[in-house]
Amino acid sequence: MGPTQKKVIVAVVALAVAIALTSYYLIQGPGRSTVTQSPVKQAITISGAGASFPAPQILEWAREFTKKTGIVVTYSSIGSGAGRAMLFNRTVVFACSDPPLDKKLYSEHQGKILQVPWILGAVVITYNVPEIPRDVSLNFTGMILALIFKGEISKWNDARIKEVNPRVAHLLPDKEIVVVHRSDSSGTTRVLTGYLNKAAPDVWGKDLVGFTIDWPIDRIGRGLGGKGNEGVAKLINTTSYSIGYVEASYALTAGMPMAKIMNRDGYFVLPTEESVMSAVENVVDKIPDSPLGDFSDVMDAMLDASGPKTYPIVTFSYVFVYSSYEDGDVAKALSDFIYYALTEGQNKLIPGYYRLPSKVVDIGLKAVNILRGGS
Amino acid sequence: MRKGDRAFYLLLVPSLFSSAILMLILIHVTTVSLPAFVDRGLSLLTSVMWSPPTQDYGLLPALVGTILTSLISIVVVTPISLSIMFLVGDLLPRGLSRVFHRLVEVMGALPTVIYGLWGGFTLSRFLHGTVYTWLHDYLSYIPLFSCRPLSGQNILTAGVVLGISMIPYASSLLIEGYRAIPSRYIETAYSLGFYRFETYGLVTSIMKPLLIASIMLSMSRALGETTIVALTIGNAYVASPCLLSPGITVSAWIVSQFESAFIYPGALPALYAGALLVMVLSLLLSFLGIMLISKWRGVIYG
Amino acid sequence: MGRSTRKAINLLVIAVIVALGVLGLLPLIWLLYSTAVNGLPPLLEKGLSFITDLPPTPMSTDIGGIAPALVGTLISSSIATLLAVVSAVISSLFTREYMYSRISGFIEAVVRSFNGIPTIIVSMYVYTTVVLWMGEPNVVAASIALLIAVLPTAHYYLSSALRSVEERYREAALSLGFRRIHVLRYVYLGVARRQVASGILMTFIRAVGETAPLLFTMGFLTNSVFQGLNRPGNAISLLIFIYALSPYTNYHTVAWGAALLLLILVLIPVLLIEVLVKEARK
Repeated sequence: MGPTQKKVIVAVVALAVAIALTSYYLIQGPGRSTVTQSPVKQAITISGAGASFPAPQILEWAREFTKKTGIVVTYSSIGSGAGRAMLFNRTVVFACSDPPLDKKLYSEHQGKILQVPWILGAVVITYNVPEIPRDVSLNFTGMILALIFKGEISKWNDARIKEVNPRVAHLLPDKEIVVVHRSDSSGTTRVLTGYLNKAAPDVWGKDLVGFTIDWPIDRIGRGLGGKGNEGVAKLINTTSYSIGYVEASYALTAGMPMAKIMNRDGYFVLPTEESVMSAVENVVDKIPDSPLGDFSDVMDAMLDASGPKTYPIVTFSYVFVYSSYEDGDVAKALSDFIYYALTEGQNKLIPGYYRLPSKVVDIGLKAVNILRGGS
Repeated sequence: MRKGDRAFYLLLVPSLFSSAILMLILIHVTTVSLPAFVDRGLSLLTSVMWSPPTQDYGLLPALVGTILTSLISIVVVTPISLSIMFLVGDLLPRGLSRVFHRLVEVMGALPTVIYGLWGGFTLSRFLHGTVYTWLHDYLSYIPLFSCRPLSGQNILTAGVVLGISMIPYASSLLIEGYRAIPSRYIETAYSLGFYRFETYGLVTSIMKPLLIASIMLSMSRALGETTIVALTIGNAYVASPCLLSPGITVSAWIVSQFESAFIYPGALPALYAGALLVMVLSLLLSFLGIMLISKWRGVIYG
Repeated sequence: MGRSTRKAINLLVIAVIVALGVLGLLPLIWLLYSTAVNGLPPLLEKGLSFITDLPPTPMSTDIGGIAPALVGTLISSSIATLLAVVSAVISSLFTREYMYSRISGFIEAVVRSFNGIPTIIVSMYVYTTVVLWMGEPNVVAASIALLIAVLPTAHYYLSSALRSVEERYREAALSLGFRRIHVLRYVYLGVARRQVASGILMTFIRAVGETAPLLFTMGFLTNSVFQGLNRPGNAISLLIFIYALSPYTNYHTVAWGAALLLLILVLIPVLLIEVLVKEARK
């Protein structure tokens, strides 16, 4: 064996050893991994997927929960539609969705799937117009938004936008509006389009309500699609003269401006603890008191709700779980995670998400009970 | 037959492993997509709507975007890879040529996601502020540039970054081909008093099949590329002839819609239909390209 | 055409070629520069903890690290490379031994065409078969998807490695009474040792850089470094892709740092191959 061949073997072996060592080191880790593992016992992992609307909060909860209990929670923010698909396919054990199951799906899965409203959030309209000072929130009505998203209002200095923004009307530029929407199957889209249909039914028809819709603005050439709330926020941030819809926490975390929207009573409102609660009050009597109940009317009832202080685009976000699992450990772990979210988790809310009313917490506690074997 | 020989025939089974996988994938994609073709027929390819609430699925925007971005990438990569071939093969002095070649080879190992990251963050913003506004301001009578570029995320950006990512691959192919040409052809040309550019003309005509093959193979790769496109194209479901408009390709659309398609009746077959078309075209181009190269090699060495 | 005209055209053509060549290399260098400039600060700031810490959450103040992604990439790429190389060696040996039979021609053509499968379709296929069967996206499924994706690469390099072994070695061995299986070990893998090693490394590089095959098959593990082969994992390329699509600046920082790390991870084998090839030239 010549010297050259020796070198070759050494090189390949060195690479292999390096790989093996690194993997081993990382697996054993100097206490860095939050789960201490021996090769024999694996930690319990519960995997979930779904809406990006609640994702930042869920990721925060998951991180804290794993640190606390050692149960590893993974959550893939891939959109409400994909999350549901994965839950029905049984490739995840929990799914998050902003809209609850509609009447048809509910009757299909009645008794088998529990719906737990565990996060309360708001859809905000955010925009990127350099000429408008950061501390000013532009005003919009549902009608104006519908016209913008449909493409019929094409410029920022349109008379209709100026009309509701007298103070800054002179600052509105003569630029075309770029509309950023979701490219994936999105519960947030369902919430927004549901609102637009309720607030301006003549402009935004029922055929434009859904998780994925055929966006007229794309046809006109002024639409951009983002993957997840994350993608939409990113696109708005980096595209001048754009407008779009995201969950409140995305706008707040990224320091993006939020619009004031005119509610049913005629007032222009920002999403705040108060304005969100005011919307919830409209449905708190209509919400089923059990996770086995039918929530299909709750979402639309909360949109464009009445009340002088109400913010018009408020929604719960749900976690769907099966009422029983083959693997008892999984069921228990899920119940612990949901319990955590409903109790301790309520003190660890990120800006942009709001406290659940106690009546809603009770629904979740019933689900925890069912998962643990009760009824 | 001795023991060692018999054992050798067992190798036949694992050898067919790769072919088996390819067949399985082809069958899978075809069977899942069939209902879409049967139910929708031609409208699957001509409709521009993707609307689950009304169960209307049309692939035209995705198909148009796929073709446009791939063509743009070819326009970008062909002259550049040809030039690099001449530089490395002939123009540059030995040392510089080796460095250049090595640099090109190293770039070929780069993951496409890094091209996408850079393209989406850095290049798109640069192009938007400079090239695109210029193109629209001065050349908007050409339909290709007739729409106002509202951001750096559009078909042109996707095509350009796609092309850039293929430069190493195409260049290596051409350089290998250049080196395969027997030196006597080139020496004869120079001894006859050809100038460089005339020799290059000769080389190009000798290499024509290889050039075509390189275009085919690059196109085959461009058709299926996902990460670069998803990060640069704007994801707007529109079929537009304007390159400055955001758009979509089949692969990028699959990234957005695949995981949720299972719960919308009709969506999965439609998505697979797009995949089938891209895959078949890609495989065809790849196969033809490889055949062309081996045929050319045969001629050259003969 | 007059002499001076030809001279002028010659200069023009050469100028264009040089310009295009430079124009071509410019973005590639710019890309390396961007990655280095954006990726260095987080790597320097965090040092080794960048590869041992968990990724950040949107609210994290610390940018965290990419431990789960690094482990996932190394494990899935190693498995995929190993299996792909073995399969490629076997196929190549078979077609080489039976060079003139029809089946081998068919296999060659088919595997070569494999190059044309868009990797996102591989991901779709593995999701609908392996992931749905196993119950969740996991490292094994991701490895299988990677395996299918790098099979053409492995086959390309290894078959050319084996093709470079001259007939006379093989014939000499056979005439000496070697059994076919020993011819495999000592002649092909022995003589072509260096190219085989290069081929292995090139396949590994491909596997490390692939993203699309992992999209639907790997999952996205962030709260633990590794949970087992049959559980969700993560990968560097996947992490970069997902984080590039997000609006959080800390995510972007991690993405650039990971990109630089990926670059280094990919360049090491490339340099190793240079060493191998240089030795071969001597």
